[in-house]
Amino acid sequence: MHKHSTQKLDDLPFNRTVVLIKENDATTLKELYTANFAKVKRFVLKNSGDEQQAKDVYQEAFVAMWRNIKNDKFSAESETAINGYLFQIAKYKWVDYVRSLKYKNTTFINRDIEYDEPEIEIEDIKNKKIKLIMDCIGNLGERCQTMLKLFYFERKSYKEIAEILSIDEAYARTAKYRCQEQLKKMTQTIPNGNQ
Amino acid sequence: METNNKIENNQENVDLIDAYLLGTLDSDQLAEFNERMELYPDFRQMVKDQKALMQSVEEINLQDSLESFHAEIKEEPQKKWMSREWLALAASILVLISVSTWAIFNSGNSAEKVFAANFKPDPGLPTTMGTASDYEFYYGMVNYKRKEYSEAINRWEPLYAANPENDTVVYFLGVANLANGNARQAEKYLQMAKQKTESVFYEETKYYLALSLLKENKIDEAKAVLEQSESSANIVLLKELKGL
Repeated sequence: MHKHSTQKLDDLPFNRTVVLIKENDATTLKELYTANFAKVKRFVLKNSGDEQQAKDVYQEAFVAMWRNIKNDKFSAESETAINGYLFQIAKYKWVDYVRSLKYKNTTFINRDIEYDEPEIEIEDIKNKKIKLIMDCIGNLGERCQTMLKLFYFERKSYKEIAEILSIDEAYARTAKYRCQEQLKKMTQTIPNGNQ
Repeated sequence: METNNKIENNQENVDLIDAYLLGTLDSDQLAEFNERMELYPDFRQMVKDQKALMQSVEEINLQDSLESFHAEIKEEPQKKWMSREWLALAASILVLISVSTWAIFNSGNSAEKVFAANFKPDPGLPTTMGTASDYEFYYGMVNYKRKEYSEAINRWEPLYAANPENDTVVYFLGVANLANGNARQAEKYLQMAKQKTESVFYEETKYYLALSLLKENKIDEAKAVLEQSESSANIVLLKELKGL
């Protein structure tokens, strides 16, 4: 598969899509997700994987793609469209996985997987701090989790949050601050939590 | 470390950093912000920490969304084969078919017409909060009222799975699916809702169930549902169905 294969991104200009992904726009993310699974699945099935593995590797790749776009590791000026980019990451991850299995079994069978070295940098090694905070979020109260989700993930304004939760706007602001502080404290009390 | 310029970890600073991270500062504010970061390592660290917190919240919620994205794949596995041109062609064929069907069957009332004349989604519930576990439900209700039916369904489905006995969730899942054009799924939920005869939504449930059945062209079943109804809406609808 060549990387310049025809990728079309609906009617949105390229940059706009990148912006929407950065803002976690649910519709954009969902469309991107549903549009690209079939191709990844075909690739994984063709290369000794099953459907569940295809799904796992695809979801991992999807998050990696999102993270790279967030961190500007994938430039909007590039010719490779996002769909192609997502497929490349998934493919790379799967090939990597299959190779590691082959090493483990010490049998070096046919290199039947067509593979070009990725020109893309995949940020996999998650920041340790982020990993720690993610582990702590689940221990927050449901109310705080919702609050932070609405603010940071869904990018709702305090006004919208107030509407959704039927609370006062000023209170929403204070409550979000408190939740955030609570989360910070949690990450600090865990041994080796700092750094 | 600046001793006479200690940066406080207060709400004001947190709000300011949020504005920076979310890209809502104007150019003057941004210049000032950058300068502040340059001058004060403490402030720089605060920004870094808050960014990590924001990214963590985002990533965990993205991961949580993936299952519901995946569930949508099965519904339209053919999607990627459809080019814009193909869709346009298909659309024009559909229009042609519907126009000729309309022309042929125009005499008399069709099930389609009765459905269109009668279906209007339930206005929904006021979004007031009770307990913490109601957030998702009412949040879905906000989506529902904005006619974002798929989003509402996505929010409510896990609630239904966790508590299938909740008659309110089942009822609104039914109506939302019908509003979303999925009569079969709507029927499934509304049939369940109909079991709960003591529910405050009982009469409405029958109304929307009849409409779902009508949409699926099961006219006799729709009539059966409405027999012995008390609400005037149901009685009127039954009358119309009998005229078909």
